[in-house]
Amino acid sequence: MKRIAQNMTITMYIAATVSGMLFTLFRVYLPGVPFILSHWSYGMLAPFQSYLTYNENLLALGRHSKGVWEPIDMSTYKTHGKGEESIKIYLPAYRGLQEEGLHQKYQEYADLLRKREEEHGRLWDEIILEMHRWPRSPAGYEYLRVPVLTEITPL
Amino acid sequence: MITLWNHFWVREAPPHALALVRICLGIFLLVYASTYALHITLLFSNEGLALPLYNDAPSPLVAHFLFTLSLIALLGFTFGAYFRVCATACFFLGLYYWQLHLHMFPSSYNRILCFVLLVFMWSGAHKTFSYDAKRTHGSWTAWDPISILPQRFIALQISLTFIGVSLQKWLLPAWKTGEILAYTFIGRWSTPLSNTLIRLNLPVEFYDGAILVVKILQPLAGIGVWIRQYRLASIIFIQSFLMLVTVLLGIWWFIFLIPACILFYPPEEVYAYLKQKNGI
Repeated sequence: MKRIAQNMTITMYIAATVSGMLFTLFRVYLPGVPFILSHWSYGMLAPFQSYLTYNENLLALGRHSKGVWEPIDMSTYKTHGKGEESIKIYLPAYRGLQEEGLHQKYQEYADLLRKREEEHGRLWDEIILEMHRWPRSPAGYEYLRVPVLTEITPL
Repeated sequence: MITLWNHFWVREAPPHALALVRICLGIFLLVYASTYALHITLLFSNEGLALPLYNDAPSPLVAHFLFTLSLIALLGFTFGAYFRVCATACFFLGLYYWQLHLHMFPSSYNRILCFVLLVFMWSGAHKTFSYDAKRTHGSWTAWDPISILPQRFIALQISLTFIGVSLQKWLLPAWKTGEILAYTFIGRWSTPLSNTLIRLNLPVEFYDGAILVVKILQPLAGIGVWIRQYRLASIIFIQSFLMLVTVLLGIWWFIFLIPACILFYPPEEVYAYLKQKNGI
């Protein structure tokens, strides 16, 4: 009985891995293998597929009661290194949603941010989120983050 | 054929190699968890910025309780104390933190860690060098044989990750030249060392060459770890590569794979080595 269970587990692992490898190399899954297993295996096999020629950062702007917009200091909310934080700003798990769904998630994030700001005594009538994109430079991460080279996308 | 299959996958073997990996992985996970310790309310509670996939984030009090529970489970995992309970708790708490926060950072190493924890749940990695061995047999170094299957799963996954990641480099357009390396060294994953390297203004051929070397050696290492005469060289390459990824890109989470390379050696040899050196 134990041997049967072991061999079933091995078969399942091999099937999931073959499926994950097929997707890594040819973007097709092995039919009959549950998606969650194939996709998880693919996730373990295929890190670091492409690169960007620009940097991006999430900027939050708060509107005062007097109607003036001001950037919110996000450093309080960044808990880890630049690499990790710069992945989180894309809300990777929600990238598969339609544009509307992703927008809603960013809105939820902005609402949470407003509550946290209130707790710190910083009151905003409204918070909006923007993605700022600027070219990379050997001179430094923020070196080319100047208005003329920075593209702003409202979220 | 069946004998070979059974010998490779399911024979009984000494638990020492897997126990050493258990200890190293437990220490790694404690360090990893400690990077979250000061941010529990912000990342894991309903008074923070959590955007959970399924269940709502709990109150800060519950979030702190669960985090403390995680640390206790990790300590039990590391010391092999009530191991099955602790390893199971580690796996399910890992899934919980995935749906709560880690999905924001769905990296390969987090996925491999979840897989490894799942394998450890029923591994018998506590059958030596553990509090459980002391409790049941009266000695930390007492041991019982275990199935080699968990060791095989972890070792195979490491080598397959190296093979998969290298084969895709031959197919993906982004990996045709060394540009990917140069741009990565000045991007969000840059470190002081990669910044220094980029400022040397080395010709693009340097980066092209580095990429080509990696594309050739990575799959060879993934296969070489299974061939006795190439094993050590392959492990040295894998470990050097992971160290370079750590210092040049700041991606330190893969270093838990370094001690796990011991799993490429037959467990009988690891036991014989330990017995000879330390009289275990």
